[in-house]
Amino acid sequence: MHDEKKIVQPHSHLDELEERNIALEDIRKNLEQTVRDKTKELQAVNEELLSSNEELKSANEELSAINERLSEALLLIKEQSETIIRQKDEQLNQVLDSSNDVIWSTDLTASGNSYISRSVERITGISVPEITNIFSTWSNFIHPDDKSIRQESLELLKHQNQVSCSYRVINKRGEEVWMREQIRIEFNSEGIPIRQLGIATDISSLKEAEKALIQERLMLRSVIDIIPDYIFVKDSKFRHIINNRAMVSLVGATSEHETLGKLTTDYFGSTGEKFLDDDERVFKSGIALSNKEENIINLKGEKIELLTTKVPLRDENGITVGIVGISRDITEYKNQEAILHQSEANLRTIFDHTEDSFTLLDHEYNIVMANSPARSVSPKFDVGVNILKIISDERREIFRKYLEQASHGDIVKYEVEYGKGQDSQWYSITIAAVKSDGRLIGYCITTHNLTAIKKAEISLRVSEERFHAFMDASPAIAWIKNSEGNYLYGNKTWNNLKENNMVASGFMLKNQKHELEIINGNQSVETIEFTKNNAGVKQYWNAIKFPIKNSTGDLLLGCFAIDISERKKYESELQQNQILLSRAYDIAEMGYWTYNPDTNHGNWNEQAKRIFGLEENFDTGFEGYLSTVHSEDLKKVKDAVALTLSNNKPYDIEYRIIRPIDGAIRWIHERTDFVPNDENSRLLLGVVQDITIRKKVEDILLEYNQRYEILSRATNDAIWDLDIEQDFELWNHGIQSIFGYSTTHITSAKQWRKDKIHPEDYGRVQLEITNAFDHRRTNWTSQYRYLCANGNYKYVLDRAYIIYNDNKPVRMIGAMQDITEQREFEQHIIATARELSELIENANTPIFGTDRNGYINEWNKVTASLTGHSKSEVLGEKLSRYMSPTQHKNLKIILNRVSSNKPVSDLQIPIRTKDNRELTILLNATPRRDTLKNITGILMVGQNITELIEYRQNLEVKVNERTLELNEALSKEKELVEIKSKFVSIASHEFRTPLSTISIVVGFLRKHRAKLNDDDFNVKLNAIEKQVNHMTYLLDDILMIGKTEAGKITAQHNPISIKDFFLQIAKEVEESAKTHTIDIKLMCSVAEFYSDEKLLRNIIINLLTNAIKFSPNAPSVVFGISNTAQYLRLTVEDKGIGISEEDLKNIFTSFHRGSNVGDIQGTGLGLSIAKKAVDLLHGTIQISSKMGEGTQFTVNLPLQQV
Amino acid sequence: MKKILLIDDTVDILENLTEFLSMEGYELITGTNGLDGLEKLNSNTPDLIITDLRMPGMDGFAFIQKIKSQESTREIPVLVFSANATPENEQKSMQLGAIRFIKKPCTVEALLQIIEATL
Repeated sequence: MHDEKKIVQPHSHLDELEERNIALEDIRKNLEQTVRDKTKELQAVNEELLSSNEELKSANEELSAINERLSEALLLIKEQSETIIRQKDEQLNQVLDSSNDVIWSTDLTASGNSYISRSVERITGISVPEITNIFSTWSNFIHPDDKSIRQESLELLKHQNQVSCSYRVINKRGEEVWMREQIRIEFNSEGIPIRQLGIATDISSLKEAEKALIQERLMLRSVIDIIPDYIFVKDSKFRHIINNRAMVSLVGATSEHETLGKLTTDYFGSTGEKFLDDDERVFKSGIALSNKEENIINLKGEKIELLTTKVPLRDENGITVGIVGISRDITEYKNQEAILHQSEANLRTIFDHTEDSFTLLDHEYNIVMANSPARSVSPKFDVGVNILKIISDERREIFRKYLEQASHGDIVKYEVEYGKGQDSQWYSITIAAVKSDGRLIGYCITTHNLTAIKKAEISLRVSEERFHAFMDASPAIAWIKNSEGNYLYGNKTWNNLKENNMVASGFMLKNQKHELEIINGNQSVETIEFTKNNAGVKQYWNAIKFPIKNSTGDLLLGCFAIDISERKKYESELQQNQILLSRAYDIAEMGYWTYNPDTNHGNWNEQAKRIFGLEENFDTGFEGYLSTVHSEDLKKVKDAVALTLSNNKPYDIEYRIIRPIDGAIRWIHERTDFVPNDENSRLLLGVVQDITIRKKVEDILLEYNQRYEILSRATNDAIWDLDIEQDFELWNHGIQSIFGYSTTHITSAKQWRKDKIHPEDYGRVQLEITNAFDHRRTNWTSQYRYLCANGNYKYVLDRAYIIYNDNKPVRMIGAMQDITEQREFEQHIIATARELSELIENANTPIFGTDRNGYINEWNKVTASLTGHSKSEVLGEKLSRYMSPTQHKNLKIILNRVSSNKPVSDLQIPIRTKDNRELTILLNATPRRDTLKNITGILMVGQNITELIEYRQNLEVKVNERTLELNEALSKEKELVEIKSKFVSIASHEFRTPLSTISIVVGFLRKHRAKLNDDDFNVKLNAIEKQVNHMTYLLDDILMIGKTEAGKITAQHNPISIKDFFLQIAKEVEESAKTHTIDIKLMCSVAEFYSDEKLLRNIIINLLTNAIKFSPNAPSVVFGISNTAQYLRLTVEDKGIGISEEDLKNIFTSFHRGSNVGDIQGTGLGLSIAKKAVDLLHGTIQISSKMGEGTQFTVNLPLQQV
Repeated sequence: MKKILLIDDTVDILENLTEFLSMEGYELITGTNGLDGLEKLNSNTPDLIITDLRMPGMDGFAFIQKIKSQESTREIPVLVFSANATPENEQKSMQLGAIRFIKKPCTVEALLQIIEATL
């Protein structure tokens, strides 16, 4: 306690004590005053008493006594005040000690008193009394690293009045505790420091929170650093104070530290100025700037496009203190945009400078863009116009279709002709859908003018046609081969020859090697070739073969050959006809030679030399002459010369020579004769003429006749040659061999035709011919029936060639082929096939077929109706499509088996129907063959056994169902039997009971008859009679129940007069009971209704008698008759014994009687009967009852017969 | 005078049989069902009990079971007098402790003979 005395309570808590002290001081002063006053009084008294010692003495005594009391009082006061002070002190210490904060104070005055609160114990474990120096003791517990912090703070106190510091303290358990200490200096009124006062607060939890906050900030910072966008915070001077990692690298720095405190212009020079402007605007206005596109030049001189958002940064008071910004690098995007712009410009240039027209449409077909060619096609092609509106009506739908087709991803390409005739324009139009991210955004339409190409094409076609026409009309041979020797083209003459095997000898084939040389040497060659006709007669051809280079640069071989076989014959005719002309010609173009056989010396004039192509050093002898002659004609020439020499006869010969000078083959016409020489000798004179050209001309002219001759000789057909103008027809032997006519010259050809062509065919044939003429066709083909000499008709295939002169048909040459047999066979086949297909189609069983690959080609009516798939639906589909995938393998096996001619039978194949059921078809499959017996597919004849299968599957189910039904019926029957036997047992009980009574009474009578008087005797007899009556009722009721249960009673509806009927019954019951009256309440709006009288009586009598029976103490029962719209309502109400709830459940059960019936008689059948009768009348019966109060029955019966 | 407790819900039987047996020199106590019978047993100790089976309230079976289960009445012989004369009912009655099963109807002579034999 004494230790504590030196510790002075802190100033702030001393006020109270101070006041107390003042109060004490006042008391003391008052006392002193009192003392002074008393002293004065005493002095006065003293002075008064000076005169009297006695008085003084006694006064002194009084005074000392008073003094004594005074000092006692003073002592008491002092003791009291000390106690109060001590108490207050303790209270204060308790307050301080209970604080968690460590509170200390040190007087700076000389006293050096110090105080520390007891809470220090909790931290240091040292009790306050043990602390001698609070500074050193406290300091010992401060974390070594933090000691300096406190020391520095204490130093600061020299300059300021208050310091605050945070440091760690190691508590007594060795844990680190964060403390914040506030130290201040107190001054007295004169400004002299008197005391140091400190409060140390545990801030560990605060520090933890701070740590977590720092952690959180670090995490946030890492997130910001990870973001690729440039994020920065600027202060109010727009200096960067935070830059994220992306931003740091943007300005080319390696650490954030380097970048801080700088302006954007420091990073990016003048290009950063606009950012500063933005900063200022955001800062001043407080309005965020969002997504502004700007660019800067970075340190590397690269232009960087930025998309920047800046937001004002506000402190907690809402004052703008800086700016937060985020910039995204959109350089790449901008570059892409620029490229896009460039390509768009390029596209646009192409667009407007191409000759093709381009039109772009949006997805609703509005024109988005049309280049100038497009606009030149139609001035209506304006942007915004719907293209369908400016398209002509007849093209609109098809164009819309094309657009739709294009929208599915196809590129639609088609050609279209605008205008007619010479001015028509052809366009190739391409439509493609334009899609973006798979979404249709429009269409691109390209139009290319094809007119020039089309016209060229047309003229080419025309010239080609002309070429073909010319070639086909020519009797000469013309063909073209490629370098492999394959024919690319052959004219009609050539094709005919080939078809008729007239080139068997290998016309122009043996010379393939030679042909190759022509191609490679690029030089024409003229050769003599030959063909052989069917009769083996040679036909000679003068062929010119020449190389052709086609448009693609391939080298081809062409040939043009002229028939020269019949030339001689023809020429002699010509010679006769044109002799004079020929002679005249000869004179001009003729050469001659003379030959002296004796000297073997020849002499050639210049013309002859030129014709023969002789060279200067020509051997003029006979051998030399012969050397020029074509080897094939050599013998002819030799023979002619020999003949002349021996017979002195002149000769006239045509032969070929091979001109020595150029190797060309030329035809020479030569006539020789002897002319006299001088004296005896004679000279042979030969006149020569080059007839090559003439030969060729002649050949062409001759071709027609030759061709005809060849054909008519070569064929089995009946060849006819009709001179249309002369109406004259010439036939070959075919008219005899095919039709049996002996004539070959028909003078009235038209009539002949009319007679011979079958009347049913004639009109058609005539029309076909007229048609051919009208169209200037050179070929005509028809099939018709032609009359034979024996009166039968034969089917003929007639093919004719028509010759025109000045567009007028002049001649027809035709060949008739007898196709009767073929036709009949065909008809037979067709008829058989038709029958077969009819059979298949109408067969009463499913028949279907596939080709070898399983594609359906047969599907008869039954199959269609069975499967629901119509024939047109399935044709061409795979059969497997209509089978479950598990069956595909089986189907394949069947197809393979049948295809290899192994029929399959009794197969079960499941076919899927249109409504997805599965049919099981029992199949026989056989191969299907064509007329040549080749297997072309399989035919399947089936039988629908689905139901059979299902039946089989369902049979068991049905048997089970039936069994179940039977079991149910059986159990029902059992139940019935049980009910019946129960009924019988109950009924027997009901009979046995009265019988028992009778038996007892009878026994009684028998035994005690003698003792009984008449009255007693009658009582006994009555008892018996009662039982007999009861049994009679019982029997009637049971019979009634039995009848209704056996269904023997049916309702017989008759009109019933409500009032009369019910009043009558009520009266009967009343009379029979005699104990009660029946109150009838009739409130019925109908007078009559249809019902069964007997059943009604059963109901009402039972209810009424029951009501009477079970209300023995009531005078009456109430019978109500009313109605609703549909029902007659009958109520029977009594004030009787009532029915218990338990009994209500079984109240309608036969023989059931209420537990409270007592000795009231009854069979227990009345209500059962009433209920059955109500049921038979289709009515309802309800009951409500209360024990001891009464019962009410309500019966509703339909007013109309149900 | 021997005392008989007669229980039957059929009043006619009850009355006539009581009259007859009284004439034969027995003292009769009657009840109309099992519960009624048990009540009568509280104040009487009969020498014989004759009971019907089918009765409202407590039936004959429950009644027999009850009297056979209580000490005071266990030794009283029980005759069953029932119209439900089935073998099952008879068997059940005997199992419960009845000594005879008498079928209704029955001549009074026969009934009397059985009563006399039992007592």
